[in-house]
Amino acid sequence: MGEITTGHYVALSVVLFFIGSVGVLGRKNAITVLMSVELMLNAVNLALLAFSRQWGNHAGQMLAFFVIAVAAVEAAVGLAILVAIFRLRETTNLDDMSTLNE
Amino acid sequence: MNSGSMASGAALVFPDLSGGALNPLLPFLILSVGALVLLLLDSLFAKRNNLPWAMISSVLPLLALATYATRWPGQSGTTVFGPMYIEDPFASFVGILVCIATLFGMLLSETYLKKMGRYRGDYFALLAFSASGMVLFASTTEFLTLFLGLELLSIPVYILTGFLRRDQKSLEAAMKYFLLGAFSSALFLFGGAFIYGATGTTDLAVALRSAPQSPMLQIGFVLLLSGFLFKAATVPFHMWTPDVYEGAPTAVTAFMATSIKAASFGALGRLLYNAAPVTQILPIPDMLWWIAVLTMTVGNFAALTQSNIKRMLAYSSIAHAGYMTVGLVSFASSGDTEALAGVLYYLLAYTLMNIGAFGVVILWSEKGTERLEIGEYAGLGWKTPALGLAMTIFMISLAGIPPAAGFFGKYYIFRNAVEHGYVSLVVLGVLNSALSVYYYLRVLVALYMRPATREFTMDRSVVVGSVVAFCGLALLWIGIAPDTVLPGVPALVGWVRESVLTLR
Amino acid sequence: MNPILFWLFAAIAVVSSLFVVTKRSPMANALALALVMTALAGLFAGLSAPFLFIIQILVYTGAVVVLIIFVIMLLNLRPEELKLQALQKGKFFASAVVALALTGLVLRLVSAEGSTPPAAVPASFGTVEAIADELFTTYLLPFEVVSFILLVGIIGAVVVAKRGE
Repeated sequence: MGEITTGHYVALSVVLFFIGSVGVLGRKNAITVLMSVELMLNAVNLALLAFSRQWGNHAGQMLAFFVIAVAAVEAAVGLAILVAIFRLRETTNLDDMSTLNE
Repeated sequence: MNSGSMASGAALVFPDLSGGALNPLLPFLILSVGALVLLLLDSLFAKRNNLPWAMISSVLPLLALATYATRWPGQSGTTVFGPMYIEDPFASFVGILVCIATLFGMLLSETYLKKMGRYRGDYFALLAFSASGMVLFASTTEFLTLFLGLELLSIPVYILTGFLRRDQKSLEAAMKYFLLGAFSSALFLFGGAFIYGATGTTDLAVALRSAPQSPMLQIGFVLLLSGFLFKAATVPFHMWTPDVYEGAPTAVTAFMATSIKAASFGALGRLLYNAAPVTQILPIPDMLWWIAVLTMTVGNFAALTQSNIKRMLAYSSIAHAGYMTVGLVSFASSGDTEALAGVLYYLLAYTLMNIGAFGVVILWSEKGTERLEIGEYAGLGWKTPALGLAMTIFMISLAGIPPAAGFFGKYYIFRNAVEHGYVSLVVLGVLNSALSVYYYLRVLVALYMRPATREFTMDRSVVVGSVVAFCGLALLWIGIAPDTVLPGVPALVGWVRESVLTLR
Repeated sequence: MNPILFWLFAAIAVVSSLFVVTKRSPMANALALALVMTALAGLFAGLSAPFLFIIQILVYTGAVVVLIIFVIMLLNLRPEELKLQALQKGKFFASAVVALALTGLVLRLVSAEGSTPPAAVPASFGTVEAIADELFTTYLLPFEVVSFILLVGIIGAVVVAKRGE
């Protein structure tokens, strides 16, 4: 185990990002898809912080800070839509949402 | 002594906000702070929800338009907060498009929401917030501000899409749009992170010029581009469009089909301008060539078989994104701003004809139930002659038949493409246009050549009627005489050209 | 950062993120997500980002995941619904293969970048004070914009999900 470089962090971030994107594209459950998006945003934050450290400026950390704020808003809005749908027809399964695909 | 300044190597000072320092930000501030005022009014008068919200809220885009008007002409362009907010003629033009779409979206909404039984003040505040995000999105080269602009324009639209929360389709469209939108923002962000990682700066204008050879920056640029293309709804990021346009409340569809297109193509033009060193290395023009062809073709072929007018207009909007991408191809390959001017002209025509068409759809819908099947429009051309005439103008303009503005817009974009050697692309574009005539004329056939199948009582709304009339007349006027001068307004084509000259 | 700690956190993050996308029960996904976020917080601390380390724990693990768990419990998903939500095998594997290929490609291109040692930074890099200094000077405009976004989120949740009328 050699020294840990920025490349290690970025590689980990890429791996997590694509695991998250598999969740978004391959899963049906809206809650799980939402969680996968959050996972992708977390991966982006890891890359941002690694680059921020690499360049020695705060721009990456500021970006990560704003990403966290926006991710929280997205989670709130997404869950609100989910709750409204569930009230109407009791499902979170994207395949059951077929009204639009006649 | 603060440590941040040592790390970043520059002294940190609180921005000077005195005097007129914030003046360039005025359109953004009017829309966003105005939205706060709307929320305040909404909570003060929550018990009586019968305030004339459309009238009150339309003051905001009108005020913003007024500030744009005072800047014109002879505006040189300034920045506020470093590269974070650029006020140049290009941003002004896109801002004007956004404000027109927002104004008409607000005016269409009152009648529509009353018909649908969910007339509330916060709806109009969300429209204004979204418009402020669009203004920001088209006015910056700094990645963080660009990202926040994107979110500020998107999140209200996710909510507005699901605004009719007793309606299954509306909520499902909101969920679909939200999940795919959040996914595309993640791609956009990852792209920005790579560009920052390759160059150490988040100002895209600097970053994209400083290390165009870096593979990391190139991956980042492609990811970033895909985020833009999602908002602009081009192939392969168009899948959400028909479902979302169909499910969303019609007034919201009219708003988002026009304003988001304007904001995203505007921001895309600015990005491609700053990315010139990268586009020379990566085959970006070739990539956009394929995207343009596929987007036109997929949009038009899918529109052929639609029987629902909202779905038809959704696929048609995909096709129109394709025509505009043709303009971007010639811009990206040559850097000739004239090609971008064509896109801006097209966006203006596109905004007017879509708002108008959706306005007619709203007028022809009945309380509680919308009449959206094209078959149900049978005979309406004779029963409501004025609306029939307006719809005819919108359809021939969308199809690109002279004398309406849609024709001149296509001519402008295609002529630029031919000048830059994209003859085969233009041939494909013209074939696509010819194909599209079929499904636009089908609406007219229903209007005039089929016997009426239902009792129809017009729900007269002066506001929506005048929006429709304005759009129809403006389309004819700028289509027949794109170079005429209104007192105080520069000739339209000259105006469009001037607005791209000082792009940065 | 200490290599042992890095590999420990990285392993936790990867394994639990695989749980997030493969486990059937939404509750298991959510708990795995909390674990990913906590592991990442550990990595943040190693990247001279003490402020982001705290924010990650407070906002992500403490608020977002808890919110998600609340909603899962509110919706009270029953076992027969979980059966419906089984993975769609074909689509899942197809996207997994594409993602794997893309991961390989991106990793290769990124590793071609050549690694220069990180810049020297003062001990206060990434502290609350340093972040705050920049937040309220250089980043004033984004800070105001994000307040609008947060407000939109609040209104949106009320407009869409509030009972009544």
